[in-house]
Amino acid sequence: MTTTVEQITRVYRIERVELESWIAHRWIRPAETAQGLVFDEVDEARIALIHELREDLKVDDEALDLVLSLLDQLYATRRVLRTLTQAVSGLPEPVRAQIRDRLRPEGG
Amino acid sequence: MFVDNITLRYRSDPRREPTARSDFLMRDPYDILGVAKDADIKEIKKAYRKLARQHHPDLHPGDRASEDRFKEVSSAYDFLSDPDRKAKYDRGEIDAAGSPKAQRRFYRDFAEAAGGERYADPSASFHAFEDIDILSEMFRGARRDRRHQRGADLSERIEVDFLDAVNGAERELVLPTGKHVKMRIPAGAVDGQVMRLKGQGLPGPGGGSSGDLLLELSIRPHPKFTRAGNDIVSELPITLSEAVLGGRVEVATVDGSVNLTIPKGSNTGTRLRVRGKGALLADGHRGDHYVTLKVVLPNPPDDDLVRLVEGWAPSHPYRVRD
Repeated sequence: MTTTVEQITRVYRIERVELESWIAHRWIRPAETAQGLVFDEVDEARIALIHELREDLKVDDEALDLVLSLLDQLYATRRVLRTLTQAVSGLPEPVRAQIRDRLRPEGG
Repeated sequence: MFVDNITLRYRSDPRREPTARSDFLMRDPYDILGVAKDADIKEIKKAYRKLARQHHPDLHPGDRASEDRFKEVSSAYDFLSDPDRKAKYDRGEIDAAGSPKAQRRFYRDFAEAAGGERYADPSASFHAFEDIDILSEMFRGARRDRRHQRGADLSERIEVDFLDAVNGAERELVLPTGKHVKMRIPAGAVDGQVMRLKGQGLPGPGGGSSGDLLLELSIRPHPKFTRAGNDIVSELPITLSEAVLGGRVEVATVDGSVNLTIPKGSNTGTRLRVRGKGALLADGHRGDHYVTLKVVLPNPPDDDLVRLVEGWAPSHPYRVRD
């Protein structure tokens, strides 16, 4: 399901210029179509997050750049970790047991 | 417009109609926010902001329970941030019945899935799995034909004699597998240095080559010698007469014994250099050996010496302390 700029600004009650500035900052990266910009659910969830960070948590725009960059790195790392976990779970049990042993803290 | 098709509603959307159906009775919103019953909107907002920072699910992706806590906190805040509702609740006219909200999907629900890749930091180029630096270690040398994977490396710690490390040596080693191998300890090896024995790790699955054995050297201290870079330092006890009158004494070094001249009038703490008798270097040269002199009086005390000093001392005072 996709959403247009008009719908976003109405539902999330943000100004159009505000949304445009988020897009200019590349905080939000909607798809460009013949009908204009469209937002998918990932974009929407991110818009809700940015809105909360700015309005509720009082993160200013400069800090927001940093916060989003750190969050994006965190999620990238977690994606990799997830892929790694899936790869490990597909290994034979003796190998997984070896990995478990290696992950156990010293003396634990 | 297709507004109604949007499943995700931002929670402070003022157009959201309070639903008549109350699925659950909320705990006291003041309790949830941890503020007093007479707290004003400023205090409520402050408390909410603090709790939201602590519990926002997108800021705590690894904490599954954060979502419920955040929802509770934001419902309480939502409830109290409407002055009309707050006043009614304060007067006891309404209870804190929460209105069930449209299922909210947080950013973290997408961010870790493939969809989140769009927002990966472009400057960090996280596209390829192997690009994450902490993982690249894991794939070093392993991106070969998967049917012939290289075996895993093994690591061990071994104790090495001080003199073997200084001079270099060849020693036989019994591996955990029971295999005997010759290893060459390089001259000048230092504590913590890691040696790689090629092909002595685990065998590769599917006929791949074996991994390596990584040996971390732990160098045993020597009773007499200490290493300082390429130099060796030791203490040399000398007699009173060797100190006062000078003499020649034999000194042990890591490269055999040498005769060393003690200059007349040497003292405890005097440092003398023996050139070229230190640790062996890669180019075949050696560092230096330094001896620190230590004057030792006869033990038990010699009667003649005592008498001599009794006669000498009163007329020859000298300061050794500040």
